[in-house]
Amino acid sequence: MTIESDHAGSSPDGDSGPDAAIGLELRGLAKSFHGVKVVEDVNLSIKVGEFVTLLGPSGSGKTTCLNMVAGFLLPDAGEVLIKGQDLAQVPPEHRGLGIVFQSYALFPHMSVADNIAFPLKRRGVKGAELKERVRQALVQVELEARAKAKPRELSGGQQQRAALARALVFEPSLILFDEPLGALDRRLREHLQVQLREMHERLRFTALYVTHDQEEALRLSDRIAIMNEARIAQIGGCEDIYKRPRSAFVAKFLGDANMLKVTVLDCKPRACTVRVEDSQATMTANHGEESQFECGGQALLVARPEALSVSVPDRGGDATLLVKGELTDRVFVGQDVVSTVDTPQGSRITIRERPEGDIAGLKIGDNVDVVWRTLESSAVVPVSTEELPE
Amino acid sequence: MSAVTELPPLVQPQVSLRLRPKWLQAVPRVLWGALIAILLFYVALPTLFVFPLALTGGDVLTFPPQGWSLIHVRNVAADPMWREAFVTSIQVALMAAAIAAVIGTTLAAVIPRRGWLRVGLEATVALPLVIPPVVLAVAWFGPWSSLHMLYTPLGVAVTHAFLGLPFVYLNVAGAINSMDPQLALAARSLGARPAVVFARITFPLVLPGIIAGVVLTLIFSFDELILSLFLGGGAVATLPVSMWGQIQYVTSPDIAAVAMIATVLTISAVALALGIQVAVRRRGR
Repeated sequence: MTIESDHAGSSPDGDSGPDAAIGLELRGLAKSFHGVKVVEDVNLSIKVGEFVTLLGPSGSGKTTCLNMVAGFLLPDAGEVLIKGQDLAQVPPEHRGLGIVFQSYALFPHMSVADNIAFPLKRRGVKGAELKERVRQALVQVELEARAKAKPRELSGGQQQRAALARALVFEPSLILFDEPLGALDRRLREHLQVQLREMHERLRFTALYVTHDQEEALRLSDRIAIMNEARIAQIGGCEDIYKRPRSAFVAKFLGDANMLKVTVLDCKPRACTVRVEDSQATMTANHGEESQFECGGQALLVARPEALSVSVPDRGGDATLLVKGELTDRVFVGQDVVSTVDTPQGSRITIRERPEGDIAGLKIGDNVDVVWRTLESSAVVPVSTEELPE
Repeated sequence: MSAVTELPPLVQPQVSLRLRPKWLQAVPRVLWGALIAILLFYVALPTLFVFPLALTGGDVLTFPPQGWSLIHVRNVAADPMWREAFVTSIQVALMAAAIAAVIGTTLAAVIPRRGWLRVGLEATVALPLVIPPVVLAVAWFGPWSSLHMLYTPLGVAVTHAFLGLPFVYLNVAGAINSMDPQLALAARSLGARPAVVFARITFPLVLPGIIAGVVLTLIFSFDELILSLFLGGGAVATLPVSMWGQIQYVTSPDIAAVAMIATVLTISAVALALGIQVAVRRRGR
């Protein structure tokens, strides 16, 4: 990650050529509004055919990033490279990107077929070719029967498919999605996520998707870039980010997480031995490759609720102890039981497990041990000063 | 690939409010119907009255008519004075509507969507509606006489345009405000230059608003008397000016025939405008 500030001086290196396998690259992108930095030093590279999601809370700068890629905003600094060409100063109509908006932005005075024909007409396609390409696009999204309908006559799902067809029909090198499912109810949203995933597998377009919904990001993406306070906090595959969060923010934002104060005893490239402050128990946990911890220093241990289990005190066996405490709550949620354990030091731990274990025989108020079911998804992250999501 | 399954469209529950309080529900429906009919009749009466007056066979402006005849309609059609008055009125009205359409649409596009500036500017645009026409007429008189616009059809048309302006402005501003701002961005991203975005997206979407404002301006101008009288004098003899001139010393049913023709023209214009609006909304491009 060494982006030199003097790269502006170098001309586009002719013979080495742009990497054809890179669909979109953002280099050192930055934008401020009224002196407030909304996007700062964002670097991201998306392979052709890859589906990457910018995930972050509202105000984290993800939509501003998207608007700069689309050309609706000019960046203060940095480059937007599409297929190796810097487009940061090119107006949106010359970027050749497909965009699916939150409101779909289907033109209300045009039929579905005319909406889909719009980008083709702008590119001089006409006559039989125009008709044929519109028809093919309609077939792709299974809307042939609704070609003549106005957008308002379509259901939410059909509108979404029409918007996608319009964004795909001129074969753009990149499609941007600006929270396209944000306005829909949960049932329809999940239905459309499945459809979108199928469509991407079939057509293999390059996609940059913006959302604040972590579940949606996990369902759709090949990789996720988590944004926080104008910067990308972490980029990686879904599982990778989940198992090896680099910061407390990422751990909290993607999935549920208990955070415990620990002292680092020993640090290896991918794993740390730590001592939990509340219980003095020691264990070895993963950490992100780039994180560095000092021996004897403070850190936070991320313990996912589903990696933990509640047991009777001092059961023995080979389970690794996390903390000891009092069982204060126990709720059945479908197949699992979610329990809460408070340590004498004041930490509160959430555990999610199948109801078959020791938890079945325990009452609220009992003293219990919280043990690891698996240490695979444990992680050590630096002590955080950021505000953490709930 | 498996077939895409379709969810049913979301259904909005139909809610109906009963506006009639309970104690009124005892009053029979027939009585209500009769009352509403009387009210409607009262509103429409003056308009309806013009027909028997115009179609009388006699030669005095009285009621009831003395036999039915088209003679007065024929008289009017043959009289060069009335024919000229119709042409002048239509000319002035078309000019006024065109001016109001251009200025009103431009203002709607330029005036910011919110804030104090908007409140102030909108109040200014609406000013001609609340100021008495006589005051407006006197106010225009000065500048028009030094600009040699006095007693010219264009001079009258410009003042008429200002009466229609608020309606064009409000209709178009309403259409612009209800437009999804992402539509223009979407069009840009799909390859449309700003000029094309205006021609293909923005303009068709505000067109019904422009038509509504234009028709209202046409109607205002068509029956406007005071401004026409003050600023047009005898030189711009629009229909109301000519009728005003005639009724002071002749009470021939010819004048009722003129009124009837004007009524039919006005109603046709409104019907046409409604038809165009519906067609624009339905067809699109």
